[in-house]
Amino acid sequence: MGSLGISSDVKVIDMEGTVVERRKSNGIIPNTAHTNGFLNDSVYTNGIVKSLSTDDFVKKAGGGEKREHLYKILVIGELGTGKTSIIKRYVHQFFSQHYRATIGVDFALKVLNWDADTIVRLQLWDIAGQERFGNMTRVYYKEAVGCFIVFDVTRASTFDAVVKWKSDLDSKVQLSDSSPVPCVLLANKCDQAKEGLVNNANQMDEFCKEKGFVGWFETSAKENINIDDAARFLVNQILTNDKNIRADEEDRDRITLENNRDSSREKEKKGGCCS
Amino acid sequence: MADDLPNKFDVIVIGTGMPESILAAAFSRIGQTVLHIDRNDYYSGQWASFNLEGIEKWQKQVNGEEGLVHPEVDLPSLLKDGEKTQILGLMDNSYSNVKIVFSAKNSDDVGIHEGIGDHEENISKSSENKADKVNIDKDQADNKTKEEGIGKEWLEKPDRELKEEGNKENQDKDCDYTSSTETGDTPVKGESTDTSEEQHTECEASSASTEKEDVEVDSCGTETKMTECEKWTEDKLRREWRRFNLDLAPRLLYCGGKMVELLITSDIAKYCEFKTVTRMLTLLKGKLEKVPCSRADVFSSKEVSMLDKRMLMKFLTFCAEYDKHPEDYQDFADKPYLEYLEHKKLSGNVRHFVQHSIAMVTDKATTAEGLQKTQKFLMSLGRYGNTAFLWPLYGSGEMPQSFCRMSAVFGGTYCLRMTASSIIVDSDNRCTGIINTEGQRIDCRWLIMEQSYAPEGYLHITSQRQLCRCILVTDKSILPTQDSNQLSLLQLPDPNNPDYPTIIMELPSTAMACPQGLYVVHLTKEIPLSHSNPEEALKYAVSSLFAEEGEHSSEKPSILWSLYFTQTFCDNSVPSDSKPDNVIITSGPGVERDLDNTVTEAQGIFENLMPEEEFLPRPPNPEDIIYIDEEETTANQNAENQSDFSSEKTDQSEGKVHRTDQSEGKVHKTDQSDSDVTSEQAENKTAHSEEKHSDSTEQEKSGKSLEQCLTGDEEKNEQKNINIPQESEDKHDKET
Repeated sequence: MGSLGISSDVKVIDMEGTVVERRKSNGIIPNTAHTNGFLNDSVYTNGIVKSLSTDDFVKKAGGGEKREHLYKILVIGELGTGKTSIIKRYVHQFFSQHYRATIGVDFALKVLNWDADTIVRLQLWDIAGQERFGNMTRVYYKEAVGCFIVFDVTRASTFDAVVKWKSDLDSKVQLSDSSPVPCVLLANKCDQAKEGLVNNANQMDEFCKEKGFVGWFETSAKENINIDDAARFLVNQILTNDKNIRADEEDRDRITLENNRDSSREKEKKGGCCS
Repeated sequence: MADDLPNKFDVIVIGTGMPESILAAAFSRIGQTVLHIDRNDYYSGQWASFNLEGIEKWQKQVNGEEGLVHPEVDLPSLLKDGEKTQILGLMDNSYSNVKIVFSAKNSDDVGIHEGIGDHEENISKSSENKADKVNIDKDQADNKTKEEGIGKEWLEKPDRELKEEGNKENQDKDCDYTSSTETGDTPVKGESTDTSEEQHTECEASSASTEKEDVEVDSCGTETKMTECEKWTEDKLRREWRRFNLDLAPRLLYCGGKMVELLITSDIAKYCEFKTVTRMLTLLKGKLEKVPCSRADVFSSKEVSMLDKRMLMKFLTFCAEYDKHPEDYQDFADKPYLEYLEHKKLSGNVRHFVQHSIAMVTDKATTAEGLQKTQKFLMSLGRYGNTAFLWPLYGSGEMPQSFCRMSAVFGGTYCLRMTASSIIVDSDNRCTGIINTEGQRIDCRWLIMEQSYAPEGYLHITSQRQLCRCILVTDKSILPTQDSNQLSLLQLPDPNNPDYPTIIMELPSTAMACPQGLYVVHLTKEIPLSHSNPEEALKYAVSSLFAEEGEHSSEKPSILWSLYFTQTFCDNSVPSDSKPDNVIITSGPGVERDLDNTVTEAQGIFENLMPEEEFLPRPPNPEDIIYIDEEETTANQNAENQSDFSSEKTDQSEGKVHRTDQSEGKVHKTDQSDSDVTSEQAENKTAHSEEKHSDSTEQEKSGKSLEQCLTGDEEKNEQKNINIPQESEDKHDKET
């Protein structure tokens, strides 16, 4: 079934009861109202779908059309490897020596003007500091399309845990075509003295190949080394995947209890034509 | 790995089930330090959802394999003067009679049901089944006679074509692979208003599936997408193990219920997605029918005569506001609901609809209970479309996890596969902490534990009950239609045992319960404690709806995989005197099919312990938090020097948001208001939405008009729903 799902009485509905539409395969959402024979009141607005992952939608901005992607990216790894610092550096452009658990916020948002027609919004999900024993909820992993696993080059034990994190990730989330979520390994704190395998680039390449990482980078949140590059590399992977698996994502009639005023306004506007 | 666990928390919560998780989130949210642990290596405890591999592991665990053990500790060194310990059991003994069967055979033993050595379990099962095997025609005849037994009136109606269309189409198509009920049907059906686009996709789908049939013949299916016309084998099911989400305790959410409300107000809704229950079914004369619930349904229903329609409409109209007319039902309040329905002159069919599909009560239910449940159902209709129920995608085991995530985001510490080996109690019989299964002493002010963890002496259990559960994986819907994504709910009374109806829930793959082309069916039935055979107890329901093993029915779905188990739960208990006051015991999943009672329980506990605090207030928007480099502030350093334990407490009084001080550097509120939108840009919107909010609450208080309840009309109900200020989209805009 196509996502328009007219023959069923199930639709994508957000918290306000507004019917929104998930992206069609061509990425264009028809901005027209359809009438649902059964309920007689459904409007498929040019709505914003709350749900994360590979949604992209077309936004009318000053006449021109831009493609937007919203991607959920996980940042996982052992305690104190610099996950929060990396996110801070990447999103807020600052670094602090003081390690703090992350409290009160699910993710940091980074907006990239990828190219002339594409905007990429990255939600970087920190592990909420204290879910630190590797027991992540599925809610955290759900619908992620990319992942950074971070270890600390000065502590070999954090590297040993990388495999455990990778298998936890793969067991709890996969892309809609059942392939693993692209994952980049970050050897953080590379401005400091290194310990173990990371000193041998060939072996690291080998390791990544063997364990299914799409690549690895030496990074330093402190000195701002390679973080943008690593992110760019991962986004490239995601965009490639997105093209391949797009067709699969479609037929999910979902409801999020999220409210979204924009789409509701849209709905109010449209209300007249189909009630 | 867990050796850096702090030694002190405000609250230790043991068990990651629903009420415990709600409480963990509520305590973390107000700045209490929370340690949340669970004996299992998965979340949600007795409320968990498993994939195919996970549920097999669970079976082993229930059977006592791979359990935790008590650590060896030097007790005196851990205890202070006057303290003693209470040892806890480490196992959950609620489950028994667990049995998993792969009825789908591997390709080499398809058709040879007996005689292949490496599937012992299957063999014993199939021979067992041979004995009970009933010819399908005879079976249906049986059902008919049974149905006649309970409601003669149903027979007065001529046998109509009912909802068989789906089946007919399939027969007409005469597909070799008889299970092709799901797609492939030409979409141009009388009433459908399909767009050409949709037809297009469907055509594509069906042509794709024909192509694949050919492939299938020689390759025996490594492709995951081709599901319709393909045989499912054990190997194939196992290959798709990750795509299953099988619930130990499947729970729905009333659209207008407390859980939905809580998810919205606490913003935990952002972690979950739902699918609507698209149809309520009922079994009449051995045939499944869709129950008309909304006004639109009632009018379009072919199963209800004009007179009945009027009666039903009138009755439902009354039910929606029954509490305003006590004189109408007072005499019946304590009498059975059924009697009252008769008194209201509803016909047999209509009574059946109201009792089993709308109120979903047993024959024993009183009128007061029946009316209350009928009203709750009606009040839930229309909010998210033409349905009263929501199903959490990926299974209801997601719900506790959503609350755990919220707790973790607000600083809760999570550690699975760890529980309390013993509770430490001081001379005043107050709990001062626990010794965990790794031998570490951890102090706490409150200890919250799920019932199955609690020491026997802490509770006088006054009554116990037992549920039998069955999870089936099947190859087609119990009532196939053109739309293969129907999520169905059905209460099936057992004519031999009318007090204990079976609740049946059928989940399509789009509920993220299973791979495409399959269905997961949950059957739940209460049985007396004396019974111990869940298969026996559910036999009537299973044989009414599903094909017997080995039989390839073109109408009934075949069972590919099944799990049966029984679960005892405590219905009523009184805390004993030996229970320390600061130990709180929460209940596991009971017989309810929704989560509203659990919310009530958790909220009650929280408000009792924290009378001054708000229960799960909305968290601050990320844009309210201003990041300042910590090095610039000295306040932080101070905070750092304090122990976790005490600094949390000082923060508490200042309100929730300041709690963030501890983490991200400085967090400044730009507004005194607690958690609502504070940035100036957003202010207008907030005002705007608050206005709406008050409007709508008024509306809510005065009760929804029947029109709204019954028509499933979102247009009107929408107003009620547009009320919680939050701008997910605005958020993005601002960030840009």
